[in-house]
Amino acid sequence: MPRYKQSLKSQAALEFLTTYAWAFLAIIIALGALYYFGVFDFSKYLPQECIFPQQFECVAFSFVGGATDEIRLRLVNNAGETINVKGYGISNDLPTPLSCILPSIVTGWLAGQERDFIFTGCSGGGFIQNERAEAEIIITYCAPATTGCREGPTVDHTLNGKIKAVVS
Amino acid sequence: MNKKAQPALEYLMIIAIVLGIIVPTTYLLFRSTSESNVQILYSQISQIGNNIIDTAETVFFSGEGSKIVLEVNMPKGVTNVKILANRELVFDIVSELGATEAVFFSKSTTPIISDDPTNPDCVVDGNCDLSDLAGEGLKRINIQTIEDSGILKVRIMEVEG
Repeated sequence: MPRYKQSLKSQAALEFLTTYAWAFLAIIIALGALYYFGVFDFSKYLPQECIFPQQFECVAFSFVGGATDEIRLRLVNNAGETINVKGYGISNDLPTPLSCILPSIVTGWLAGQERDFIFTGCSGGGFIQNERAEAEIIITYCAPATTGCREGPTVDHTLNGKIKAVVS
Repeated sequence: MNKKAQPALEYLMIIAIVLGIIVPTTYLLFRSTSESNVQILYSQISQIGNNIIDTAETVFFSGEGSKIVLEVNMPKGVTNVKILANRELVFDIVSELGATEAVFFSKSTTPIISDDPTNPDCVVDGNCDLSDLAGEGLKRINIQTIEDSGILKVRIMEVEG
């Protein structure tokens, strides 16, 4: 093959590779910029939710970061019965689960009444400011009108709920 | 060779872009659907529980022998049903969010029991098994006022067939 023909082929191949290299570079820079601005953080497209059974509907909630590190939720007693809250638990599925200082117990939570529950000093479990976090909340309660509520745990019930929100 | 490599590369890039769109969208939809399922489950159980308690109060005030048969479609996830202290109808639920209880209270003047013959506590302290109602599917529930030791009570039991 004449030398000039070989030269023409290698020039075309080099131009082809150079064009694609520029295209790849442009794509990589664009993807890097999108990643930097959080476009690929799919968790922020998920809704913030507070899921509790309908007997104790969750009407408001927030994760507050910064100095207080609080989880706040407001529940309505839709059980149609006065309730005594006897205990709480908070956790999540991460290897170092979420832990907080638990709110004080509630006696005489009337039917239809809203109550705020504030878990303070939260740490672990991915509770980081501007990040999405999950909290599994357990509330133990009983109805004082039921025989045995004040005496022991025989008529205690467990309420499990889950909150998914961004720590603000 | 050049002409073959270009379409192959373009094909791969298109596949990569399509997968990049489909995979996160599927993930978001899956998450959203599983949470909706839990809310639907809670809503169905709330409706069933309130329906049973309302019916129990209706037959109680209608007097001895009065009876209503309810047909309910029990959703998947109800692992046990029981009565506590003659007045609390308790559904044990297991869902994607874990185990929880849904409790429905009858008025203290309307004692409820089941037909649990194996448990003497059912008559003594009113803790009765109603596990026949657990499990997915159509359930026919007989709610009837009976007299037990001179006291009117509402008996809740599943009717076969």
